[in-house]
Amino acid sequence: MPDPILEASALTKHFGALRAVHLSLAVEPGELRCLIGPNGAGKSTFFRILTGGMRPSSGTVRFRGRDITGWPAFRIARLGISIKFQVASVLEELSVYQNLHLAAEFRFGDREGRRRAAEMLEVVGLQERADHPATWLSHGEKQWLEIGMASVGQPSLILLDEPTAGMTVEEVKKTVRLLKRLNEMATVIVVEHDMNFIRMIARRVTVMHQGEVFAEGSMEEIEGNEGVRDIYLGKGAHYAIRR
Amino acid sequence: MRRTASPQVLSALLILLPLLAVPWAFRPYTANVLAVYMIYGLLAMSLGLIWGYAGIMSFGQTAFFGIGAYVYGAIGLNLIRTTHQTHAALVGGLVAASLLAAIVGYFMFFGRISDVYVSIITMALTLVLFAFAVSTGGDEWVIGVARFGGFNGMFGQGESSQNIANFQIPPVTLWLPGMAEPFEFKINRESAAGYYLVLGVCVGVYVLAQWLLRTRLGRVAIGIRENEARVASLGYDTRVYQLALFAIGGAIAGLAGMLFAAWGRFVNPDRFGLAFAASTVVYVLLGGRTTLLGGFVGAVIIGYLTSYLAEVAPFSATAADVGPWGAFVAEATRRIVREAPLLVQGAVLVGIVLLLEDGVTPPLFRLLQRYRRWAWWLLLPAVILYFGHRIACQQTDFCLF
Repeated sequence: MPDPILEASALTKHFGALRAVHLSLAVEPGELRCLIGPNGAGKSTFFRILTGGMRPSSGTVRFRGRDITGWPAFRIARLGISIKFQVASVLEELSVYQNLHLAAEFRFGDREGRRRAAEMLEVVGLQERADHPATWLSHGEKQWLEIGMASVGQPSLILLDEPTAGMTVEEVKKTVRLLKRLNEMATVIVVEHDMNFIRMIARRVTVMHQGEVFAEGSMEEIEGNEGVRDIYLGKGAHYAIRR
Repeated sequence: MRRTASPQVLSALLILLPLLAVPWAFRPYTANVLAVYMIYGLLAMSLGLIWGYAGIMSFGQTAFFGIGAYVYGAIGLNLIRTTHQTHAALVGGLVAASLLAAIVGYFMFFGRISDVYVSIITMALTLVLFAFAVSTGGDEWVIGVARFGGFNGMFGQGESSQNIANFQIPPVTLWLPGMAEPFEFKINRESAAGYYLVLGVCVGVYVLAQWLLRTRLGRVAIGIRENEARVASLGYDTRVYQLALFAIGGAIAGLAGMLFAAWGRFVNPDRFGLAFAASTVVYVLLGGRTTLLGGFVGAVIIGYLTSYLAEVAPFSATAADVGPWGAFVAEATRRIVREAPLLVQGAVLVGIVLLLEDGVTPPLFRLLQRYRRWAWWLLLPAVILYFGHRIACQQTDFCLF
């Protein structure tokens, strides 16, 4: 078994009396890991700790064996960890191209950044929107743009927080293709609610519940897990997952 | 791709060209007053740069303005009598203002202070400096021949005090090697050098700022304004970029302060005061903070117009025998009219903020963009006015401006 690219050990985060996160988790290089769980399971909090948006109450995060716990966001990003936030966070007043260029420029500089940005425009399929301000984009297009921004710097780990939120079925399919392409170059961790989407991409799924890892396994194992159905959908809601 | 002048450049030219000819067409008095509003415009531009582009709302740009003015004054007063130039004063004022901005900025941005707290801290900064400047009235507050003078403002002392000019802060005086006589900041019947110096500095700063916004520093700053967390997650240390832009803004404000001290040959604690700090913010709000020209336009056009109104307004109705009620009405009318500029200023501010939330310049730029073909014709009324005014003023002594 290879060394994990990302390893969270005994990571906890308290908000007053509420324990939002309390878990240990390891992700191997090249994985496409799905993180699911009901609202309030601590998925986004976990992501925020990983990317330096928040300090954990205790525990450590290791990236390629290096302790990055509590590092500021920009230093973590420089190691090659990038994130697409839960709420699509693009630079609204800048054009689509400028968004990608700013993201590429950090790693590759101005000139090479332009080329990479233009390439990424095609990968995410927003060529025709290149000169539009990002604020004109539809919700789905913003998601793609942010995924593009998160991956144009060629990070080795990409965290995607609800990449298909608000997307049509067609858009979800396109996102699946995009994700598989990204996974060829980087390890990807995806937080999602959309079970169909998970089914289309997942190899390994981690279920979170009340801040803890509740179950982990292949999609079949997870879908077959009685307890997961109960916590995730409430008792008696099996049909939704079987659909 | 066909290259055409962007609306920004076009409107900058449309503002610059009429300003260039002001000393030619109008009285020196107008050039003098316009110069000080251009200096305020420069200060407003420094706020527009950091507020509009980096989202740093500084309520205390006047702190850097005042420091620039005071340091220029203190060094200049000492230097002018022996060296007959003010080079070191110019450098000193600029360094002091940028240094102050860098230090304050360091504690703000590296202390993770943001949003409204930046406004509060910068406002506190300018008020602290105000209180400090006021308390420097005593005899111990002297640097060489420069007395700080507390409320009365800075002035010089010493034996060569027969001439009142020696009391005052010296004008910008450049005497570079090879120059037969020094360049001196003057705006009078003989020379408009000071006016063109101010205009030149404004143009220079504008061009420099436009260039800056196209560099990585500018792009990242705009990104931070849009979404700081996003930009940080791309790997940019946002604090460094904010600090750099804030220090540059402080330097520009300091530059404006030095020009102010050289223009009025005077500086007092009011330059640190709340009223001045607020008016700077108002200029930017009125002109529009999303464009670099906004603050400049706000200060020059709106500032100048209201001061012009203040001059025109007084009609002294002194009714002799109209009885107590008549006198009351006359007095009330007189007072209202006297306060008219303030009423106008208030109405303009409220109107613009309500109707055009982005200020005057963005919609103007959009109009220019749409009717670009005819944009140059806008200069025609100005040309007619200028020629007409020059002729009327010189031949018949009828001078409006």
